[in-house]
Amino acid sequence: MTFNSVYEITNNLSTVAGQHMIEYFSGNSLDSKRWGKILVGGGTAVMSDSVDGGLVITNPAASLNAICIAFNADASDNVSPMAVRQFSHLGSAFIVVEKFDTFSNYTSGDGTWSGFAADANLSAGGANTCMVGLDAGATDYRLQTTNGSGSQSRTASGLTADTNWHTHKVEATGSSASLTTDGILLVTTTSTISEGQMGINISAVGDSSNVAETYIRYFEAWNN
Amino acid sequence: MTQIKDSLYEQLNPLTTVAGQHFVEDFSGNTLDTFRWGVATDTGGSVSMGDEINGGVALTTTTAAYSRSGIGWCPDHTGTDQYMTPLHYSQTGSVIHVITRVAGSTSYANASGFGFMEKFSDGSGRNTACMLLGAVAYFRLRTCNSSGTQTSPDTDVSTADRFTNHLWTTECRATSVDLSCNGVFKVTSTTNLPSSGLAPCCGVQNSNAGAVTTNYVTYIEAYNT
Repeated sequence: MTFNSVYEITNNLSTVAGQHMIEYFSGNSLDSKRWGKILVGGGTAVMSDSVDGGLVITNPAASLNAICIAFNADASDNVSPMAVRQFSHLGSAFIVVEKFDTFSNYTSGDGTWSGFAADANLSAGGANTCMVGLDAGATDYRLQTTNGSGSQSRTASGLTADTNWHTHKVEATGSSASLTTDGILLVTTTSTISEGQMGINISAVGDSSNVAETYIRYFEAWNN
Repeated sequence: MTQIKDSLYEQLNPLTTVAGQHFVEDFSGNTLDTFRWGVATDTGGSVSMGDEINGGVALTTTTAAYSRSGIGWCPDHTGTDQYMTPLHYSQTGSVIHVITRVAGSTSYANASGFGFMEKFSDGSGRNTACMLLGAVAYFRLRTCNSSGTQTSPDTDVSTADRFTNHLWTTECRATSVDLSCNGVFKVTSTTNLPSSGLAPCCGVQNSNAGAVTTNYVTYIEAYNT
């Protein structure tokens, strides 16, 4: 069986679909009508010229490095809230394919985080987030949730981080959030769950002495 | 029966699989996505959206010899060929689908390529795996190695059929490159295969002074296997 439309791949025709987006990070350059960048300290976010390379976000080894791309215009500092927040804290999900090529270099700072957030925020801070990433000094992938007051949890998954590509799926239900990595449900949390609409923010914060790189080649998000 | 799933990702891959690079281009909108695509022209060639049903993007030459029009992951340029970047697709494990046709009814004196290339146009230093439409009787597969040595086996699809859309699928494998048309395998090449990463590219060039030619491209999808 084949589908007549992309719509019918993910929805019955009797269903009015919610917001849905797919970013392949494959092309001559990053689509700067979709993504804005915040670059501090000489960081870059460019297409990687390698097979399966996607986009590479690089922090040079210096203090005050922080980078994010988000649904916002280019800016020189955090934007709260980001310009466009189309995903629901009450029922949404995203799938990201990424690798933390130098994850061991995230020894301090805020680490690197990808997913839903209300703010275009260099350190994945601000209110209302639901993200996957790697915390500074941590050795496993983590699920970050932040509520409307800015209280934040970074819940350990127990899956040891490495430099390989992984597929992470994060779901937000309104009462919980969950992280599934490479098809295995790792963690569900009910702590500091997002309480408001969210956009997409992909951040990386290096430490003061090591280069840090994050590669991303697929991001899909949708409302249930 | 195929099941509806939450995401396109889960329809194409189990979540236990880390998918490779993938992209889809529908060529439908007000202008070409110039974040994704660079435009290559020479001697008056042009690129525009095709304002007709199934128009996609139109790659149009002038009547001048060597007039050229194309798109790829190269910088916008005229004249001297430019390398593609990024080279996201594997020369030993990737697929590209291209739907294309030619407008008009004049004799075809051009050379057009649709598929994967390392540099705009093929030749020395330009690894290639693509469908080739030339001034010959049949559509061809073209492979080109890094030294510029080419192999171009014919399919059995007549170039007289160039005025209707065909889906051309080029698959790069470990020891061969295959070309299929409308889902039917046509021909393989096992010599002069590309040896570096590749990027999508489509282009048409007048081989001699003559008529204006437009190649329409309505769909490109590529992925690593």
